[in-house]
Amino acid sequence: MTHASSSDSETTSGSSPRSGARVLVDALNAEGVEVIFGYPGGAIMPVYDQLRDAEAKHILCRHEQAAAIAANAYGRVTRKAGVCMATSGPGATNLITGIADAFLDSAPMVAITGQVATSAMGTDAFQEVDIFGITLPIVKHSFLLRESGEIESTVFEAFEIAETGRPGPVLIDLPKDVTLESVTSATPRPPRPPRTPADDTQLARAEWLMNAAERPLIYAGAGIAMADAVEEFRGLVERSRIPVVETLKALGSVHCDHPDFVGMLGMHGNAAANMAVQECDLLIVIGARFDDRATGRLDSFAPNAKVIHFDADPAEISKLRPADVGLNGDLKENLRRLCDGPIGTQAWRDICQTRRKAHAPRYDAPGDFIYAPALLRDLSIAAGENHIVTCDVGQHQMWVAQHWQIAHPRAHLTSGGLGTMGFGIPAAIGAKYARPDATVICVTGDGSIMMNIQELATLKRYDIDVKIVLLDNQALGMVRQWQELFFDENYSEVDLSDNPDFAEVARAFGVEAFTLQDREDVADGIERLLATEGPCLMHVPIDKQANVWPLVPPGKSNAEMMMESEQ
Amino acid sequence: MNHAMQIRLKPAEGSVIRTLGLAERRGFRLANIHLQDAVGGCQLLSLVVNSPTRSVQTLKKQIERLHDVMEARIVASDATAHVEPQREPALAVVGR
Repeated sequence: MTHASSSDSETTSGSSPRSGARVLVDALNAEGVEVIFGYPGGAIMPVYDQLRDAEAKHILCRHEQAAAIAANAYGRVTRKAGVCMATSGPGATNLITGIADAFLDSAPMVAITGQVATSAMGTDAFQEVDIFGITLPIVKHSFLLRESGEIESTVFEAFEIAETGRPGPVLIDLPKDVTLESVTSATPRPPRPPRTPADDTQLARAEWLMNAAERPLIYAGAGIAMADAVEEFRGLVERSRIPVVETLKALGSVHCDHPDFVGMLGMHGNAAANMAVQECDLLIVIGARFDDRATGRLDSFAPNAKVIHFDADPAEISKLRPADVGLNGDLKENLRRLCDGPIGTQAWRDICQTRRKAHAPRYDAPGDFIYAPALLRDLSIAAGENHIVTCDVGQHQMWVAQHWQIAHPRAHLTSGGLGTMGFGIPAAIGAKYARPDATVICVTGDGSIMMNIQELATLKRYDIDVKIVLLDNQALGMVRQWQELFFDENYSEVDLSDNPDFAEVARAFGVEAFTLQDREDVADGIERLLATEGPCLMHVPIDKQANVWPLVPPGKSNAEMMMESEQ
Repeated sequence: MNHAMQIRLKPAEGSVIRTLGLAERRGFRLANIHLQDAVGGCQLLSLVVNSPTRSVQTLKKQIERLHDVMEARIVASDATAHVEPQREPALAVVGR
């Protein structure tokens, strides 16, 4: 093996010798990668040396976790694998949370890590860590490349794995010597396999069950948007007139004002939605996986229903709830062909909508504190149709789910599976590069923002137009709420009353910021936030005692919701 | 109940530990393991697993979606299911 010069940019492809690093960059170019979120370091330096010839723009995040989350979010919005890059050792381990988040939420992503030279692997070398082994449980697939001749084909395979079927993260671990070796061969990018066809037999069985149902209900999940089947799903809802409940990550699959939308189901779902699930006689599960936050106590979930389950991943069908009919073919085609007329009774639709109206949220909260649900609803309307909202994790995340006017599931980026505090700002960075034309708003909390607050520097450096709404209750609010309700008000390590002045912190990073003082200031604050050019943070102190309602207590049935009026 | 499985793997780095780790993480106890090279350059992993609560059919599907797995089969499900080192003729059957 020879070591190529680090200045071999004149070689681009074909049979001319190229370094492994250059081959990697050429393969990323061939994949059409437009942006790489990363952080350089020792073992990945040969790749960074070649980035000058990358067609992608490299965004230097200030922590590898943020790079991984930004790539994760880019993938969620575009359905193309987001790319993040880090060096070996701590660079690689810092990616882990973002990779795990992508795995649990099935986001397409390719993570590229430097590794110590193959001769040093297994010797406890400086910044050596077995990232391939560490990430085995949290990747869709992973590669440890020991031959430079495999780089190109591996990159193409990694993108295909990440983006097809049920999407997910793929890791490529690249030892430094492999990136320096000379490669003479070239591998063309292979065509992608066609989507799997619909299953006519199972479709016919599903139709039969649907026609026999009196109280059918659609339980919609994030798989709809992942399969790029939102339009087909909306068409199905229009034809069938079946009431719809959505998971956290499916919100926006039908518009929240649609007459057949009942609400979000689950722990912080709408009471009407949870009641509909409990009473339906047919549950049509589309791209959802019976997550415990959605189902509550599983053995009492939809107790009277037969189940039709559509999912791209056959391993999800009957994993937690036996399906009477399972379909794992192409969701777009399945939904397009399913059902040609109304299903179920008008009486059932009326019950769902009457309950929905009866349990609609109110925005006339008493008191002087700024009422976060009302602010979020107003901001989502003021932001217009072309916007993306990203969330961190906690009470504010649930308020966004309950009150934000979400236009499309890929316009609402939330860490549903892993529940990653610190997701919001880096996700907003990824979203802005994915859709530069969209207004991007990050809703965060005073706990979550501190997990990746260094990314304010990234916003400033690249002048990334992200609007941040920081709801500050001086506490880890969701934990505080659970301690109040389920741990006898024993408040353990949730007090954040010594928070810094967040507006001052943002200004120190060069990001414009202001603090709202009173409820009367909200409208002006929203206007100022949206009118500000470039990144801006709006700091919003809220009531420390505010809770998220309704709530299904952990381990309980969704039929046992705790309502605010009962407290 | 014990379940005996035969899993044909691509000869890729990490394929064995990825498969075994998945079975354990999904709640199965590994009762017996045997690995050997098989025809066509692949490896044949024979497992006996058990779980008081989890479905071996779901485990099979979870194993099948691993990219290094060419084929997974449940070959026996009973209290005495076990694996034995296979001889080449048996491997040829598995490799069909």
